[in-house]
Amino acid sequence: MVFATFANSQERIRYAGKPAGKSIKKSFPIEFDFRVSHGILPITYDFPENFLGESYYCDVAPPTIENEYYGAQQYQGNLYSTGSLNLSHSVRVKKWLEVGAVLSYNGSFRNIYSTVDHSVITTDNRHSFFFTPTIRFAWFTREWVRMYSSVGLGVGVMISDDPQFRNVTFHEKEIQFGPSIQLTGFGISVGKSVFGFAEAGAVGTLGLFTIGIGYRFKPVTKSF
Amino acid sequence: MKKLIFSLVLAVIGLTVTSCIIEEGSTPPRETQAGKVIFNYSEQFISNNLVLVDIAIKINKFSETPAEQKNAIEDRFFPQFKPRATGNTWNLQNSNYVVTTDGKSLETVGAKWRVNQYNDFFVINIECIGSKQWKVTSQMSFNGQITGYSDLTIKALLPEISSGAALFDYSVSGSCNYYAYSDNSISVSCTIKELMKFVLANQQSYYKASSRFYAAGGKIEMVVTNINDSDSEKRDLIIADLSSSVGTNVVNRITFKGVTQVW
Repeated sequence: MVFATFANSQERIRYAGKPAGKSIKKSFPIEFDFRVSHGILPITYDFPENFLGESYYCDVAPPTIENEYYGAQQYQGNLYSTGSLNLSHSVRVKKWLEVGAVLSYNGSFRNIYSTVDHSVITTDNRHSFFFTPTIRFAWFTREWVRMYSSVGLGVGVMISDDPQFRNVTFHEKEIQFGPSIQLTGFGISVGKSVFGFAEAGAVGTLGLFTIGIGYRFKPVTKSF
Repeated sequence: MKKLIFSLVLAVIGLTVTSCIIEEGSTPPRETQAGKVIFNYSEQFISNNLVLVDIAIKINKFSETPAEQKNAIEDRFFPQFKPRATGNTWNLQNSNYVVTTDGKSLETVGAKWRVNQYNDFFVINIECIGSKQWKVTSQMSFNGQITGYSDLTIKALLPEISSGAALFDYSVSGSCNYYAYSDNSISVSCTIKELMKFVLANQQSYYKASSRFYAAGGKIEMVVTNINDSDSEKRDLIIADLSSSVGTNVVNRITFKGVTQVW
């Protein structure tokens, strides 16, 4: 958001700085947009475990009596994911260029049940938050349709339950920080002030496929 | 602006409720699975004792066999690892077993033998206390740390299957303890409540890695304690009741946290 606001102010300065009496060669009105979207298959910091399964970690060491014993007293429920919920704001500073930022949340939730009475004894929940400044390049622009690609780089944090050794008595939060990267190969938006959009071929924290809606408008500016 | 806020709120609500399952949950184990795990380890621990006792008893038989029959005994019980004596010490050639005797037959009351595996990793002392009856104490250690010990009374029984390498099955009473050291260390304390019967699991010679005795009768209680848990009262009691077993047809009723299931 800061990035977008900075870009916006730079653009205003550029226009304001034109000498009086001289016409702007090709004036381009700034345009804001807000988007809400939902992405599936986002890459979060537990990506290897989610996509390769727990065996990715567990096959390294042979089973031990205590792991077998405690492991047999509980079992995992379904793993639910919200997907990536994204809220973004961007500023169109050129016909082909938009700068902005995305706030994303991804949650995954799983209950751990007791084998003996099938009650929930603990949870394995993970919450990921990402802040990703992005640059969007529109390579096809018409009144109703725009096609674009984008790239983003930012930071993120994942807060997760950490049931060590699956022992129900030991339970604490684990916090991981890391980068947030988003590369979108193809995006399309359809509409004018209110528009729908879809992005595919994306790799990163927003999700592999993303759909959403947005609202774009031109700010009311004071004329001098 | 109202329109914008309304649209965004609707969208967020819509997206939030669309969470999906990305991995199916695991299949629930049986309610007494944890009890079965501990029973298996306890059975294996007692079996390890019996394997060494069985070696000593077979060496004793070999030593007492007339010279003209020794080859037959050797072929039956020791086809690969030949027993050879140096003084009162028997070695199974090319194996890691060493048997030290006190010069008496193992079937003489008061005789004391010792079997050592893996250079003191596992040591058992055997004392004859009656007709085909022995008191067995053992200690298992690793890197100087004791990982288990037992105090058992063993009696030889006619084997369920008398062919092959089986000389005896065994009835066992007494207790044993073993430990698993890690970040989540546990100790298991076993007490045999009703005489347990152990049967040779296969008819191969005992030195095969897969050789073991399995429980086919009796009753055992096992108490599991988390060594690191400050609440020392928090213990799990597991009962395995095999008294309904008939011959080699094992019926194992395991009780864990109040639930009993047949395995």
